[in-house]
Amino acid sequence: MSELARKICLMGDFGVGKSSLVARFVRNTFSEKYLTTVGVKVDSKEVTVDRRNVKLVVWDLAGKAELDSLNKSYIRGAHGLMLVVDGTREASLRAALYLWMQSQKQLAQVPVVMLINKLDLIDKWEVSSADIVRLSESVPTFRTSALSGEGVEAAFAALAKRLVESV
Amino acid sequence: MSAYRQLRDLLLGEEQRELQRQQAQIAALRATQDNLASQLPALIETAQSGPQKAALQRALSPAVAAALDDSVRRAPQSIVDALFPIIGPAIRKAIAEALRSFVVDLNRAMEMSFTPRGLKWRIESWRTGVPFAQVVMRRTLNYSIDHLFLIEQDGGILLYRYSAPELADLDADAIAGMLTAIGDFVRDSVQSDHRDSLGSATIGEHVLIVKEGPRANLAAFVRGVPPQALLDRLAQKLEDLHRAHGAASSAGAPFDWQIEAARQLDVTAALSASAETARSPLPRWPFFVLFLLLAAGVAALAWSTLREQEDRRRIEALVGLEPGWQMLSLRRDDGWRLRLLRDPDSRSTSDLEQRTGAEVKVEESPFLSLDDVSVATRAKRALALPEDVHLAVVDGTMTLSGRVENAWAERYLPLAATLAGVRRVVNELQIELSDFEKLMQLKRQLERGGLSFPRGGVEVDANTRAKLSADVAELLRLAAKLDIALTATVAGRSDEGGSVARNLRLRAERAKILHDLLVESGMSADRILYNADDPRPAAPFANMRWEIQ
Repeated sequence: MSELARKICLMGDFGVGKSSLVARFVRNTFSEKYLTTVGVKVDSKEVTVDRRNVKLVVWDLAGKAELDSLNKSYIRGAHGLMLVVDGTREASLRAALYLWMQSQKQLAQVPVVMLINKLDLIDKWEVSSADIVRLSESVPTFRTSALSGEGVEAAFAALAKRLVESV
Repeated sequence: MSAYRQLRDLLLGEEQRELQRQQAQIAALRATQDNLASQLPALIETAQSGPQKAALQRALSPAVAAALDDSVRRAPQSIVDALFPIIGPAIRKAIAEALRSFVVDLNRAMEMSFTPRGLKWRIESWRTGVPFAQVVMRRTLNYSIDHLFLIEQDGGILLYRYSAPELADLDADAIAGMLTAIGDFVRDSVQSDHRDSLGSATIGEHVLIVKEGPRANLAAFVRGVPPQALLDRLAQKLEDLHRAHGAASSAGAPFDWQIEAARQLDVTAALSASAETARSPLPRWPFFVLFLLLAAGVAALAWSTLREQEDRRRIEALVGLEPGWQMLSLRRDDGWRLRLLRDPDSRSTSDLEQRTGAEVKVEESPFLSLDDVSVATRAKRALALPEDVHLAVVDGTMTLSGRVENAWAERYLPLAATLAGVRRVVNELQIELSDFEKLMQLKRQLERGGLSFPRGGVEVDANTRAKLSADVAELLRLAAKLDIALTATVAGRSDEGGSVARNLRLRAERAKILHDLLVESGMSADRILYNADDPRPAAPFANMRWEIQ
């Protein structure tokens, strides 16, 4: 309990790989069925940032293109956001940006990172490098693969670092 | 004019410039004041999110408090209208919690009140001074707090946790988050307003209790049946935590939920809360004295009850056996009070107390009893039964036997069959005539028979003479006994045929023979008359007629 505890919410369109990313990063405490029943699954992971322990409480929200009232209650009090995009579906990028815009009405300026997932399928990506570059200018963006784990730790670490810095 | 302006500028130029500068400042201030109303909200919003937030709060607090105070005094109704949506649900929730607690306590008390174990606990409650409900809970509720989480209200971040040492480690942060999410999910599912929350959940022997506060919630995972005292104590602790947080915020001091929670949420203290109100046990000897008194009271009550039952049994038996009595009710009311129907010919109730040995007040109403004894008693009274007559009634059949005078029989026997309860009369009486009746009967017999003679003769055989003489003597005896004076008129009758003279002589002789016989039998001769003109037809008789004077 001595470490800093921070709530981060994973948001993104259905099928972008949020739960797979969480599974890569955290110890799964609860069943995936909560995602289809309650609409959220919460896990936690402790990371060290600049020799400071940070407990990341990860709220994996069920994939949706927009926030409904229940999801709005789920993101209440979040300290950071992790927007997940399926690189093979450009529509998922627009959904992630729309979700971000919706969440800003409820959350103050909280740290956000963008994950372009499914790096293992980069040959099929619809999201262009130019778009990623432009995204990187406003939000830290990471190319990740839940399958291989590439980029996952780095993305979480970057968000944790920003969370620590915002304290 | 030009020189004048030059002179004026020379003399007052500096003052005029100062005046213009002041006027410009006033205009600028006026413009700022005019724009302030439109700019104030944005300015305050900026200040709230900036470093001046605390200073703004300090500056506004007195004014807002004073304004609120003034508003309450001036327009209380508007404050009531504003607070009603908040206070109403809060009051309802408090009432619901209180009622729920009351019902739980009542149910447990009712369940435990009427069993031997419940009585034992009630005695323990009385002896130790601990409320009965607490004794019941202490003896019946076996529970333990597995986990206790203090969770941030908005984000579901775990602020403090306690877990029983023997339990395996778990991801408390994730559980706290999921609890918050599920609470939101339930609230969203029932479309409740923001103030309501998931209060409890039960799974098997585990109970999840959630107490909600404005900034943090308290979630307890309890194994077993938690007493209401524990729930109340958890709510109290949460209120204490928020009170401490409010005090720290007002003082501008930092507040660490974890440290404060560790201090406030002492699980051991919470578990032993029920023992706090226990008082020192009372000395035992008054208990035993009271027990002895109670035992004596119970014994006296039992003895009194037994006596009462015995009295009742005795009274009921006596009334039941008494002919002509029919009990309506018997109740205990400052002595016994007996209501009964009593046949007027049955036994009086005046000696009932003496016979039963109990104080009995009798309220009796008359009725006709149809039992055999009552019918017999009633018949003896109604028939003025002579001593020599025996009367018996069996199943409504009345049998009369013995000797009785004819006069009684003629008067009372017709009444016997009309008496209530008499269905049939069996007459076995030997009816006797009275002296007078015998006299009259003998009189009629003598008058009807007379003295017979042979045709044409005047001889009387000895038997006839003896019989007639005896009858006359008996008649005279009865008359003397009854003090009756008798006179006799005798007449002789002649046979058919014959001469008138002979018949005349024959009638005279026969009348003389009867006259003499009467005299021989004791009749005074001066009370015997002759009737020479007997109109009856001729026959060999001499007849007599007796008159009573």
